[in-house]
Amino acid sequence: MIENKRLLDLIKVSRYYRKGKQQIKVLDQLDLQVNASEFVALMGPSGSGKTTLLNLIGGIDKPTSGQILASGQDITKLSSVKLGKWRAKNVGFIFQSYYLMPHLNALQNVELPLLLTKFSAKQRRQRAMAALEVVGLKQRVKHRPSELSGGQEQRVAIARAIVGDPMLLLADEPTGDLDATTTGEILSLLKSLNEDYKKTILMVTHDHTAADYADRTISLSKGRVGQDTHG
Amino acid sequence: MGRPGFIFRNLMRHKARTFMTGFSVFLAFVLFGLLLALKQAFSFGVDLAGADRLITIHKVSLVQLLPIAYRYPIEQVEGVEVAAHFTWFGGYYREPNNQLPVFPTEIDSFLQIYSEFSIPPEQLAVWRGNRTGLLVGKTMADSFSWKVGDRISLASNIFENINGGNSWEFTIDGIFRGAGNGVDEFQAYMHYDYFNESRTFARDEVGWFLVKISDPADADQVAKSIDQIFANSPNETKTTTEKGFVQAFASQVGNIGKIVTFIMAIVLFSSLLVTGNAIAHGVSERTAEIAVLKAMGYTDLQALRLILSENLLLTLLFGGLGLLFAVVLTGALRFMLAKYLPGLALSGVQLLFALAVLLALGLISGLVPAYRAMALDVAEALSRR
Ligand SMILES: Nc1ncnc2c1ncn2[C@@H]1O[C@H](COP(=O)(O)OP(=O)(O)O)[C@@H](O)[C@H]1O
Ligand SMILES: [Mg+2]
Repeated sequence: MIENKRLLDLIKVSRYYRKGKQQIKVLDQLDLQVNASEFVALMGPSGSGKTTLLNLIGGIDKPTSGQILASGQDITKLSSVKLGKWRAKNVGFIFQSYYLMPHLNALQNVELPLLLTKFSAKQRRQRAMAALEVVGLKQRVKHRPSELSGGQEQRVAIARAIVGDPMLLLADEPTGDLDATTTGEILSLLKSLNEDYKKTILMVTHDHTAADYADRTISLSKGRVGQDTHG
Repeated sequence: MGRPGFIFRNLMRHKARTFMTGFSVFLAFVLFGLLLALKQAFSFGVDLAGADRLITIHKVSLVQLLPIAYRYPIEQVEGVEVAAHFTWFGGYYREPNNQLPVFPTEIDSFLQIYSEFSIPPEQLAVWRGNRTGLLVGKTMADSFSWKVGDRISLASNIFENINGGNSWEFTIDGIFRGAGNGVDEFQAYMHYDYFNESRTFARDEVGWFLVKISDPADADQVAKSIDQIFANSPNETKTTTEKGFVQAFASQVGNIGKIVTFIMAIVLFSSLLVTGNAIAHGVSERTAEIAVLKAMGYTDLQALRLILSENLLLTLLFGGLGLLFAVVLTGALRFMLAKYLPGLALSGVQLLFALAVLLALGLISGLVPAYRAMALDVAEALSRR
């Protein structure tokens, strides 16, 4: 069954920061396995290393030690160029503050990741339109971020994350800036991406109701996975 | 939207900033182009003064004429290569107030003296064989719309024609060029024989001799020797070495050249600062965005390239327009100043040089911000709020 296919395998992953003479062990010998098509909520107090963990898995940060296997490949060993290509193909990031380009309209924002591909202008456009349709923003493609609501902006950001059709979506407090109603809509959208499109999702959240949308909830404590509950 | 579109939109994001930065690059390169042309013109001035040429005139004044027969004794002087004679024709075309530099001369010595003139060989051949032929500089021809083959008549307010009246008939046989070598293109040359045989007075006399010497270092000595030959004759001569004059002029021009170079350096440096600052400003504002691009898969090199491309597009576009404007302006100024600064021109080589400078400026001013974009650490940049 596809559900049981291992997508991520983190083995004794540590990430230390040096602050002056002090060493902060944000993640310390952390082990974690994530199967393909899982929807995982990542919880834990502020400063517990959730963002750090997401960054490591997404290949925008490197661990101090340990291995991170993605579909069996240790991404910590990849050169920065190869890692960039790996990210482009396999990962979609979703941030709390969206990080859309304010001078580009929704469609252009979603097209950005495709500029790195060999798709033709027409293909890029078609794919970006399709992604915007998935997030329910087909009517707003010519709008700039400033002309959209927060929830709509996050939808554009989600469309941008899925336009390259990656296996893995990494969402760092995606509803942190949104009201309750909009939060529900965004979470439903993520849920449908997980269920209908079989996307593997790791989502950092502080909110237990948000975690309810996930199949599995992990909380970090003392640099490791503390609780790990399914369902 | 493709990559060029993305670069363009990034530039258009802060239109005022982009245009002000671009305008400063534009102005810098208009100035740069003009200064290059000016520098060229001044350096030609020195060549034009001709350290290897002496002028022999009548001792009393330039207006007094000298016997044409003086040519041969002058050419016998050691160190003299050739002596050509010229006379002020006092010609004008239609407009008496508008005196034209037209000189009767003898073709062979003339060509030896002015080897830098460029004349199409077939036109030269026609001119040589046509007594009433006129060789005209490009600028002069253009200003009266004269073409090869045109028949024109010039009037002289000095010399009457034996046919009566002061009108002289000519055929335009050739148009010479040479501004690139500092040649004044606003002048014309006629055959001395035609002039001499058709005028009513002063036959076999000439205005002055231009003497080409083999070694400029001997100029003083040769000048003295020439004047000695004609001492105590009815027509004593005064040969100016021009050496002192040329040296003084050259050192002044040299200083002007240095000043111009200095100004160019300042202009370019300030433009570099303005552009670099604007781009750096833009990039530091965009730290998070660049981090997001990298999270999407942009490699460090692609981030570097993006910023450099933006900068290059900006500088090449506006700087290129500036150079274009400088070319147009130089063309106009050259026409207006043809009599004073015949060398004022932007040659292809200079334009290439200016383009290379422009490219270098675009690269250098974009280097620091582009490097910062390249070195940007994604996780660290995104955790900054
Ligand atoms: N670039 C950095 N340099 C130094 N310390 C950092 C850096 N990034 C994060 N940290 C530290 O690591 C710890 C965990 O950060 P983070 O992963 O952002 O936590 P969370 O997302 O769970 O709130 C914090 O104490 C934070 O100060
Ligand atoms: Mg965090």
